Amino acid sequence: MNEQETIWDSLINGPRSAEILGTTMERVARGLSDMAEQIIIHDTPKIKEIPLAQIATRAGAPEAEIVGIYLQMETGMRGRVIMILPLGFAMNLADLMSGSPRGTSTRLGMMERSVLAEVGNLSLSYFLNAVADLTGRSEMLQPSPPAVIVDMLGAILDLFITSAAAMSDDLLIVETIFTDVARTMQFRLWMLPGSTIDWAHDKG
Amino acid sequence: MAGNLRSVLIGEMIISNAPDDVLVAHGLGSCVAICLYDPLKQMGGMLHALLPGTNSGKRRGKPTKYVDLGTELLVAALVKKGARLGRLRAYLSGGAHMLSSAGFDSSLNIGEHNVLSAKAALKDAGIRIRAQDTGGSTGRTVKLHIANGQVIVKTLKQGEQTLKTKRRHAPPVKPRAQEIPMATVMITDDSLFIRNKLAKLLAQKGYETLLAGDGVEAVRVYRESKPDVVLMDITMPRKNGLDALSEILQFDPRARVIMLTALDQKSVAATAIMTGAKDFLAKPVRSERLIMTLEKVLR
Repeated sequence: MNEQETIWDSLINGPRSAEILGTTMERVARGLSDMAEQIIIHDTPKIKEIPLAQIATRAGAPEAEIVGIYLQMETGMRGRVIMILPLGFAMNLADLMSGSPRGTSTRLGMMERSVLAEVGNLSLSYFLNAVADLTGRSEMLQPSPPAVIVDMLGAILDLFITSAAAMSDDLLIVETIFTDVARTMQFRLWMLPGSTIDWAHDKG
Repeated sequence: MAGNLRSVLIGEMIISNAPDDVLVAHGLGSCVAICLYDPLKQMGGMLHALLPGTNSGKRRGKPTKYVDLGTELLVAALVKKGARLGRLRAYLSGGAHMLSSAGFDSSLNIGEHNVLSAKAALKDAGIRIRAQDTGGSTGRTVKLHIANGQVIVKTLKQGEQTLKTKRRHAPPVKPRAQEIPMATVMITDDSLFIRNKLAKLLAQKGYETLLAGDGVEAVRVYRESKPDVVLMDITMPRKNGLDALSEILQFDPRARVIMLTALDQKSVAATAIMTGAKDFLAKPVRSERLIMTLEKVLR
């Protein structure tokens, strides 16, 4: 098992796995709450092995128009992350972050996308900060610059899982659902460990 | 832990591990006060040995070592020396984040008690307060908190009230706009949103701004325009902020670069400071802290 896999393995299989994942997501939720100026809570992170054929239907109707914020973990820990936000929530979040009254954004222009990209950047950075802190890693854990995609859910998830599909019929993901307290908004964070397949082989 | 703390002077800093060996840090600008525990007896000596600007003197009739240092030096020295950073708990008005990033616990999530109860708690714990609640040379007011065996010193915001204590009022502070000539700040961030937001804020404060969308652009704009200070994100396409920092410093070793990043990791902070960044701020940063840091770096 190489160094990359060791980090993921400790997160997924280690004795403190649930505690560490829970705490990391707590910090992401706290950061998002600060940004959105409302309380956002998270459910218990779940680690799932999902058949690729089912992945597109897990987050909602494949034809639903959604916003995906896509990032990669590039340094110190490899993997891919996607935040899946309903379009309406994405526009509300853009309004909140940019200090505009709710309902100002009616489409996702360049500025709104930039706001959402920053949300993705901050969220993954908070996650990596927490991992570094809780696991005592001394190396820098750094995300890629984010990409914001607006498309049908099925199309976005296809993009997300394409590379994995070449290697396996199943996908290992870490899933957390974030919700505001009024439960009017909900979005998902999926993490795909970069060494999922190798890790799965090691495990077997 | 608190029982190991012998004395605290707020506004300046006193670390007293033995009656005749008092370490005083003063004139720190943003670095107002640190609460230290027994491991810092050793660390205090290390600071004295490591840091430039250290000298000795007399204070209140006791042999005293004076250390005049900036937060950057403190962090850099401790990181360089491989100090056990988690043992120091600190809250500094301008450098709390940097220390936090470097692994110090500057948590403020403690039950807040007022100064008087803190004083009583300290007394119960056998801790002597040498002075309390002064403005110090920086004109700032600080407040002591204690909870869960931890002692925390917090700098109050302007206008924030302390409880009734014997307070020495600091001399009136001139508006900062008169103290510091307006400078040119280069904002380097791949986020259009962040660039615009910071540019708007800085323009309101009277700063000139230059914008760069990645590390490559940052190096180019710096060479062309040589701004007074640079705000530098780290995660950017083409060239990241740490690489851009190195290149800018190669071109201009006196460049003043403040890292502004969401990567609030001690390894990142340590790398940035060791590379030559003047300060390190975590996103999202409050505007007051950003302006205060800019002013500090520009002095």
